[in-house]
Amino acid sequence: MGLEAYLFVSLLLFLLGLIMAAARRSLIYVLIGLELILNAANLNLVAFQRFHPGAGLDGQIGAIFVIILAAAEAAIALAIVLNVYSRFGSIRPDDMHTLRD
Amino acid sequence: MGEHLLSVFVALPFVAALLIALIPRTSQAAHRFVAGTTTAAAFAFLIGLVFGGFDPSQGGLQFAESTSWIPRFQVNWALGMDGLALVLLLLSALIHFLAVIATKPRIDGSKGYYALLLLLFGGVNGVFLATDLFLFYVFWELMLIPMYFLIGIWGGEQRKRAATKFILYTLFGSVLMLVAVVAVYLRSGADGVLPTFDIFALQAQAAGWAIEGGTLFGLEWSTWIFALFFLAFAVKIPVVPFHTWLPDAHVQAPTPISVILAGVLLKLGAYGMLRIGFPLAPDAFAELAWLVATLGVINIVYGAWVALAQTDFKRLVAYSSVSHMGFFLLGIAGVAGLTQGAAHLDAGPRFNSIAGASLQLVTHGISAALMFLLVGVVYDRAHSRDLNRFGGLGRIMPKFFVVATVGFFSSLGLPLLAGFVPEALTLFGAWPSWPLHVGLTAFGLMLTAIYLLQAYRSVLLGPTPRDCKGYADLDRREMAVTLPLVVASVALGVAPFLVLDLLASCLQTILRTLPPEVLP
Amino acid sequence: MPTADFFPLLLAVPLLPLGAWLLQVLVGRSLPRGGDWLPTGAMLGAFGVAVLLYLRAQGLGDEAEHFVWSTGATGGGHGWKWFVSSEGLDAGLAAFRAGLWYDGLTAPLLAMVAGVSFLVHLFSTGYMRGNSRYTAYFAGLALFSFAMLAMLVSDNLLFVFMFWEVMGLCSFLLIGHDSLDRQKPRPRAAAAAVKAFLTTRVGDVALLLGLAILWNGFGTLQFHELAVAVPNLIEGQQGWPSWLETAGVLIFLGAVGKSAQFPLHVWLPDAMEGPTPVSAMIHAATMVAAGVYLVARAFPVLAPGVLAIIAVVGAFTAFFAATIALTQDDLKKVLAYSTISQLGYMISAVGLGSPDGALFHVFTHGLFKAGLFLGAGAVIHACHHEQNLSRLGGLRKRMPVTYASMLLCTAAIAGVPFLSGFYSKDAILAFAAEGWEAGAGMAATLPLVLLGLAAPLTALYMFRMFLLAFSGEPRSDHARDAKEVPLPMSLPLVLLGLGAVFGAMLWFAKPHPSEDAHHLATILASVSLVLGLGAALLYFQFRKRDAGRTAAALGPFARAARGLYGVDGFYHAVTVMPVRVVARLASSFDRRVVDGIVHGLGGFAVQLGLRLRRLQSGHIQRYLYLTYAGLLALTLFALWRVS
Repeated sequence: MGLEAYLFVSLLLFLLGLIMAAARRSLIYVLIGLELILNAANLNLVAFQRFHPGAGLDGQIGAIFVIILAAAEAAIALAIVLNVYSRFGSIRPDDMHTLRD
Repeated sequence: MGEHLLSVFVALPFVAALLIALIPRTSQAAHRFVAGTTTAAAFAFLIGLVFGGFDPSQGGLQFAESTSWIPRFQVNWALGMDGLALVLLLLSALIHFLAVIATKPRIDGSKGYYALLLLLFGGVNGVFLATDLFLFYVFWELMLIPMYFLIGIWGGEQRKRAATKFILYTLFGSVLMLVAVVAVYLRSGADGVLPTFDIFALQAQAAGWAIEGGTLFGLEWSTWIFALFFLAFAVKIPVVPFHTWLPDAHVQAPTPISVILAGVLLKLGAYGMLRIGFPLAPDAFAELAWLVATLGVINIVYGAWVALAQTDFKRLVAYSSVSHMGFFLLGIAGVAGLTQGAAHLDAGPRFNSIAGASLQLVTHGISAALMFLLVGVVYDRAHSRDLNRFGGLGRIMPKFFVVATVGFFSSLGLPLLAGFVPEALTLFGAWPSWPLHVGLTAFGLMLTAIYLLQAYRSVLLGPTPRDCKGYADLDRREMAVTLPLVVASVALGVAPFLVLDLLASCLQTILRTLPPEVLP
Repeated sequence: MPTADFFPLLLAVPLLPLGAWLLQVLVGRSLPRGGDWLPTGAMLGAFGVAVLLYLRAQGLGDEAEHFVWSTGATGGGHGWKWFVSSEGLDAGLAAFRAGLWYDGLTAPLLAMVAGVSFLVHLFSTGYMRGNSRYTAYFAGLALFSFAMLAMLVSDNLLFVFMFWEVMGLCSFLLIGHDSLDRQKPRPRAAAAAVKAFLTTRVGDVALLLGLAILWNGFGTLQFHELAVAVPNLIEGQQGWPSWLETAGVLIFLGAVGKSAQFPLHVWLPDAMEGPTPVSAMIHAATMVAAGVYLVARAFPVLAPGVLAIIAVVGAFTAFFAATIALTQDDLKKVLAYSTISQLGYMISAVGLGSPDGALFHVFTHGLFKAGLFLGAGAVIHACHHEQNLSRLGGLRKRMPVTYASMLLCTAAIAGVPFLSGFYSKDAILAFAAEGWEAGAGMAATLPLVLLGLAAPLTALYMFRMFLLAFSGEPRSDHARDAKEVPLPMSLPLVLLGLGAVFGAMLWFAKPHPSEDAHHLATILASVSLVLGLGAALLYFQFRKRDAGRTAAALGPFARAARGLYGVDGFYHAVTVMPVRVVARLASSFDRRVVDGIVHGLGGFAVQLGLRLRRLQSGHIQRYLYLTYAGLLALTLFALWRVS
């Protein structure tokens, strides 16, 4: 199994995440979409390390950083979502457009 | 102290501004006192230098000092003074001092006003003294900001609009300058040596740049540098068609700020051209001198012609500034290119030209400042600047009559007053290179006489309208502000060597950095 | 040759009135009598010094005619470096030096100017009494005298130009004096002052250009150096280079403005708005004489072609102005046009190759024209500012001193033999005759014809004025009540009357035209006098014609002359109006187009911002779409570039 297979799966994950983040009508799903995008990146990092001999542990370290980042992001984002709900009474992204000029 | 004389001098106004910031808001007299003392001390210090310490026979820098500031980019805190800088500093100190006196003793927010005025003064001093291009740029930007607030807060009804126009226009200019500054810096390092911001080191290198600079969008490298610097400084001078911020700013600015604007700030652009714009692109300058001369004549004639149609006294004076600064351009263009004349006199016209151009800065500073003060005097009484509303003020205000006569005729270029000598020098110097331009300038001189006398007549002569009858003559404060300028105008007209002695050697040094004459 | 002797005295002549002016401006109003004694005394002092110098020059005997003393040419250092004082620096005008100059032509002129100025000052103490700006008036007079005297002792053209401009300012202020009157300001005086300054300014600007050319050609503007450099150049180049001819024309234009020659003569009659003693000052001692002095001094640089132009323009002006003078009914206007006419003689003399003769006429004319104007001032003063000839008359018995003085001066200007004016005008006519004999064509004939025609006209219009004012019966109550003026005013009249008679004797450098020409000129002058005087007597004395009827008698020609041949109106149409219109156009161009573009750019940026803000919708998912769409586009672009 070559690098291309990994990349293909990663691309699939990324696109799924992207569509989810861009199209779903709930902030929770948007968050899940973002997690998918992050994990697509993780998959890439690990795969490139595996197929690139001189890379040492760089890819794995990067992946670990991303996981930590994702955890932190999820914690903060869910807190924000809760706040959004208490403020707007909804967690539909379309209902929140006060942040414009 | 001795080695850091100029640093102390530059720092002085900033320290004083800080001091004002510490004084309570309500003690207006104290703010005024600090600002007055600082500017007066600066003036006294410079006068002291003239009589001892400064050697006018030396063309190069004096009191030079240099300390590394940003080592990564070879930026130095480098200051130095030559004759040109000294003369313009003297002018600036005098004008700022008079502006402090010309401010009414009670104004709103005097704390901020005087502090900003001192910041402006410090910035101007820095520009005149900086010998490091980067430092020059920093001071250049530094002095724009106080001016913005001074017009925008203490100005007339449309002050915000005028201040915004002023700052946007000048920032547009300085952004172009920044590009040129960076380009010149990088170019100086292209030959494998350490790049430098030192203005004089750059001048020495600049002569060789044009030949192998390559082109960009079809223009020579040195043409780009010239165009960028020229545009940057042209906004400030101002050169037609980049002049429209000037009348607006003048009309809205309070009198003392107008005085500074016309008396000092316009000279910065000219100083930049003499020191940086032309010497850093000598070949492009030689090639484009015809353009500079043409723009100069356009300034003179167009400015005068537009002034002729103004009914607002202050706008008229503003356009007369535009017109007079044209002489600087014509003079500087006279340095490059000689198309006629005896060979043994080659150096003569070049010297005449550049001497006329630089003396014009001083004399215009004096007469324009005086003219704006006159406008202020009239405005304080009439609360109007409409020329059609006045008349016959000469009958009821004898002191004003004398001062105004000196102001108007100094501006007109009457011999034995300041305006004449630089005009004569410029015309004499530019004649061999640009005879046609000089001929057109003569026409501009005619127009100048027309609009000035028209204004003179409608303000001072004839019957006095009823609502002007009660106007008081100049009070002591107004006399104290105008008299020094009257004296300076007469002194420069009767004895131009007072200033030219300080300038002569320095100008010859500058001439050496400019292109040699182009003989057909 | 006495050299250094002249120096301190020569400097004192202009400095005395300058000092008086300064004191007058600073403290004049707090002095008793408005400080009028200060400039008057200073002028007396200056006159005394000038006389002293004159006597010293006269002591040179036969040499007096030709001697030249100047700081540049003979000892006394080389003058002062004016632009840059340090000796080492000599590039361009830094090498320019200014010094003093005194020669056989200056000597009598200087004394005449100082003397006439003094008498005008003295006369003014009576004439201007009670004026609301008495002190300012005397300050103006003092500065005026200073400028003229300083011009006379300058040894270079640049300083001549400078003091000449200062005179422009003084004449501006003095002509406009009445417009500042505290009780009754006269707006017309302001208009006249502006007109005078602007019209002469045309010439001044041209002159400055001429000096620029000269300087760039020779590197000097000193008389004595130019007098050497020009012949050298001509010898080297075998002819007059065109740039030198241009310079000559430009310099002459300066004189045309200042000396009110056609076509720039229009300011001088208007300048009559100034107080009458000022007119005396402008017409006799200062201002207009400056133009003649300039071309006389610049004579070495004037090419033959330029001289021909000068001769014709001068002669034409002499004739042209004389015809107008004939039709004027205002006492002062007659004198004004007579001045223009006489200046034409002087200018023409320079063109005919006799700068000495021109200055000779400046000298004698200064004396009798000052007498005439001060006499006119006395008449106006006595008749409560009545100056219309048709309402004067019969003043002979009422003002005997004025009458006598005016008679002598009128006789002198008309060219009655053995009076001063006869000698100087005779000399000019002789040179015209000489030119006619020597040359051929219009340029040689015209000056003689025109000057010859102007001569009888001069006698006619002068005696017309004189007879209408002094003989016959008074034609108004003002004239009936006239009384002789007090001593400070009558004394100058007496002295100037004497000067008009004997003035010619005081001149050193008598012109020497050829015998033949001299005879011809004498005959011409005598015939002219007889014709002019006869006509005047016949018409105005014996048939008692009124002033207004002269015009009727002369028909359409007189109407044209009265309308000044439409020159004023023409100028208004071709200069004033277009300048105004273009100014208005330029101003609106500046506002609409130049500033319009600036505002347009600003407005464009704002509009662009308003459009682009729509993208900022606040919908977070749309941002995401856009972000990725952009990313995709960039990626595709990069791939396309790579492949």
